[in-house]
Amino acid sequence: MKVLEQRSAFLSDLEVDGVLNELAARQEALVSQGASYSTALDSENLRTIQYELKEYLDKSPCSLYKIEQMRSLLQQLKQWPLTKVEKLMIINQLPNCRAELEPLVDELDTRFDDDQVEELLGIIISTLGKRPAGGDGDDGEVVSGTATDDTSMMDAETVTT
Amino acid sequence: MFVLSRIEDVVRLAPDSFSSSTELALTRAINGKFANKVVDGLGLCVCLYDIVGATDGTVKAGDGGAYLNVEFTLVVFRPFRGEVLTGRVAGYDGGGIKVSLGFFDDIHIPPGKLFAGMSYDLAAQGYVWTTDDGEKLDIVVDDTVRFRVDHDRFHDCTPGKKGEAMDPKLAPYSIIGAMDRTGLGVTGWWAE
Repeated sequence: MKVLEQRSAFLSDLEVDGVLNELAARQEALVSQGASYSTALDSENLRTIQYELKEYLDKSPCSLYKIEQMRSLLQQLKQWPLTKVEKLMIINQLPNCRAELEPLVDELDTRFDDDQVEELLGIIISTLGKRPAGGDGDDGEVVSGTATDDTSMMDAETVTT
Repeated sequence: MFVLSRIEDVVRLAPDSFSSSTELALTRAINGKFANKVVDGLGLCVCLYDIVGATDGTVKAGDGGAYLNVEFTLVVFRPFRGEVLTGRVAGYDGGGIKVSLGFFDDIHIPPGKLFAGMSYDLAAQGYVWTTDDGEKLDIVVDDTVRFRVDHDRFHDCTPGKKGEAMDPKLAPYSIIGAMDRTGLGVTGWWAE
């Protein structure tokens, strides 16, 4: 096995979510064509990572907006002096306020004045939306389940032929 | 968090897969080999993204399977240094805080990479951050936290290296994080 390019591109969480959805749709199509669930789902490892990753992404900010909104935001941010990874983190983390934007953008204070920071947050919120208040796990929201929960869910889903 | 990696590998297709299309058979084989596995130096492989190209299948003597040289791209979980991620507190002790993403658990935040006023309170058996304003904020299991990726570590888990036993505690790929700046830590601390 040879790694030709360790990192040929970055993928945003939303794009990975899209890949997982396509994979699931393909598996569904195979099942409806008559293949048993076990062959369509290819392997246990794939099932595991698919399920666990989908669970994580469904609770992450990328579940709040669509790809068109993401493209629109990137278009609007073109004029802003932000690096590619800063824009990627903004899309993935969806900062709602200045404190949440600070860890994503290096030296925020020196590069942008207060008005610009407000403007930037405004663009983010108006294009992608705001993360729901209190939905961050502190208020008893169930974030990812424990390992045992996951496996029991999987058993219920798998159709044994 | 995720990157695309281009790989070249030899894939063996078993004879019973000859009835399906090459593309489907290769997809199955590659997903079967790489899904949810750590490739040393690369990261945690998620699934196949696309197949760039494949040679015709060659047959070896005594083996009915077809061997193809395939070039493909994989979706790989490999956060970059300095990236900010959101996860759930899985546990903690005097040695640090363990954070989990659900699909990836080997994230550790050592005490040296926490906020300056944060320390392990033996009485409360937990981490407490005494802020400049005198507020005491604690971290509890299942809290949603934001952390920065400080660096990551790969551990070669090849079995049987010169007779040394495999250490089950050493993960093939682990991330060391930090929660030491504004915006990091429990998300509820910074929400407006």
